[in-house]
Amino acid sequence: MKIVLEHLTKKFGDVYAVKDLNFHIADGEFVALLGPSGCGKTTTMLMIAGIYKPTEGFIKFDGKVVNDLEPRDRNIGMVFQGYALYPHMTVYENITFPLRLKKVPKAEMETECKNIAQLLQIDHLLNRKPGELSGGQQQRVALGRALIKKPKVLLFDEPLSNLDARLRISMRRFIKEIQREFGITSIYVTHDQEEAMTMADRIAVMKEGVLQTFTTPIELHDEPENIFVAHFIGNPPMNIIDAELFEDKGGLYLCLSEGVSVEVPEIRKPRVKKRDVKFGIRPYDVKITEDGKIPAKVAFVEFFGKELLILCKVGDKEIQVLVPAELDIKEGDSLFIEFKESGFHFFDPDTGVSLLKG
Amino acid sequence: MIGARIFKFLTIVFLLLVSLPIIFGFIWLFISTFSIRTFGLIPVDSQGHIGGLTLSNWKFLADKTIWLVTFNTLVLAIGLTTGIIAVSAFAGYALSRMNFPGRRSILSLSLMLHAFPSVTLLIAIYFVLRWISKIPVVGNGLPVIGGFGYDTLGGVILVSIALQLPFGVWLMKGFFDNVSWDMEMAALIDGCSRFRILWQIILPQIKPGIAALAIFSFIEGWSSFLIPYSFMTSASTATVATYLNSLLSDSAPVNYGTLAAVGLFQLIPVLIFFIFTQKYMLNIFSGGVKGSS
Repeated sequence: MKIVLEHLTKKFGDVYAVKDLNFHIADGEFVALLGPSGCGKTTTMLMIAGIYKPTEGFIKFDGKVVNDLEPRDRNIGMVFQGYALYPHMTVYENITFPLRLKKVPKAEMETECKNIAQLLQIDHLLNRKPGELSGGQQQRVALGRALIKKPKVLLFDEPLSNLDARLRISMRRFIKEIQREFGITSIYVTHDQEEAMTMADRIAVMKEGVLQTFTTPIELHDEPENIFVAHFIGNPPMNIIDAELFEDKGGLYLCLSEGVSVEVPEIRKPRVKKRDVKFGIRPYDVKITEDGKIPAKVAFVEFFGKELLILCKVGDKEIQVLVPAELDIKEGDSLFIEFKESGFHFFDPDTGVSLLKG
Repeated sequence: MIGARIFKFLTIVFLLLVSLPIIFGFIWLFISTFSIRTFGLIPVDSQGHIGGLTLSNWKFLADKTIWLVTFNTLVLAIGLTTGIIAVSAFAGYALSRMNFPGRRSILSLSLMLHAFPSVTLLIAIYFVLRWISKIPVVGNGLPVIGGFGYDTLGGVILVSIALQLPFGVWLMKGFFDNVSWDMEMAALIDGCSRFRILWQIILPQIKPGIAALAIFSFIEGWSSFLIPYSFMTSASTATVATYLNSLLSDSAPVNYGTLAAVGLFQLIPVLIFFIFTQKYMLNIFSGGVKGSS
């Protein structure tokens, strides 16, 4: 099912929860809504589900406006963060609940449930109550309940947030596999960029009710639309530094600090000419060298798994650099750094919009 | 380890000491129903010698009045319980789940009403009941409860429900608040109507709350005195509590043996009821909420 949101707006009182949201979701696509808490991603999903009525704008399923359609008539399945299983019913009753409401014959219901349960590897739990299951099992039951009515759209509201880290990774793959197998258009709300990056075909980043960007995970990481996206995506976050650009002998130079400048590579030259810019560079796009143009002093070293995250002082600016842990770097060391060519990012200091995109 | 044990021991001793007056009270009540007189906890006969056991205090059971009164009290307790549960459950649901103008003021106002001693309202209620009495049939022409007007069982039930409602509504609202919105949304998406969600999804989960409110209301109705005493002045419609009171206020000398026996008689149903519902309550509290009964 194709989903189109047009000028979608939701107000609670005078507060905009979602403001003028526009995007298209293709049939069978897996889209993640990503953003910090309170950014309107869950509100957007609940409007698509039909729980909230939009204040303005339209939601279209396959070209038809569904604004006033009841949730039960939208043919959607939804998985919640807290699972939202019915505690007084067994797993079997939980999964078949949507079918019972549709008055599906008992025999058919049993076969359907068996198939789904086998797929989700919960067929041995059908007679238990949700309270007797682990978090991961409960989430599978919730997924089963969403899948059994063969929905045209699957909605996920931070489904993995309550699980432990290991289980989250395996469930991530599991959900993605199920989604591919059934080819159901899916919308996945999360505040975890890793989840969004690994699972989604495209990611919509939201902030304070406004859509920041809607693009593929690779684009999102490599060519961020604005400072917010650049800072939000990637771990450790991108360095954003106030800097100046100047031209000299036909080349464009970036001045980081008094007397410290480096030539901007041809492919990363801003489309818009500006003197004051915000320069962005990811910590893993910075290299440590023996000799070079940018002298730096190590101010702080953090152990970051198999890498070291070091905080360098370049003049009066600070830059975080991620280096292999084998390098023996200590606080107080003097060294030189170098930027990877494709790692240069420039943003408008006033609007925060990327200067690399025309 | 030893400290904890000593603490536990001391707690039990303390609780025992504090409960002693009540325990002795009940023991005295039990003994005196079977004796002519008592000396402390020892049954004695009219000359003061130990002995004097008798069943004569229970003679009132042969009287028709007590059974009529018991029946009335039962009707009052059951009527109060069903009324409270029905209204509180729906009102609690609405106050917990729906947004409507005046919601906040209803909540704070009902809390204020609950703080009001009901004695202060007796005269006003009297006028209301007199007014209801004038309505044909509903006033005082109904079977069993007599109607909803003055000097009818229905009137007493109506007033008791009204006075208990603030408590019931708040209790129910609290239980509804604890049911997650997600579950309701899930049910909406699964294809439930709102009414069906209340009936099939939410109500089963607030069973402990309903049970608690039912037990509370039943005992309240069974032992209520002030309202029936004030608004059911004719003897035929009195309850056990007012019957007990009439034994006291007779111009003849008070027969404490009979008084104790009627008191014990009133206690028995409450005890039986409590023993059964307590089991049920424990059962649903341990499993019902989490879904493993």
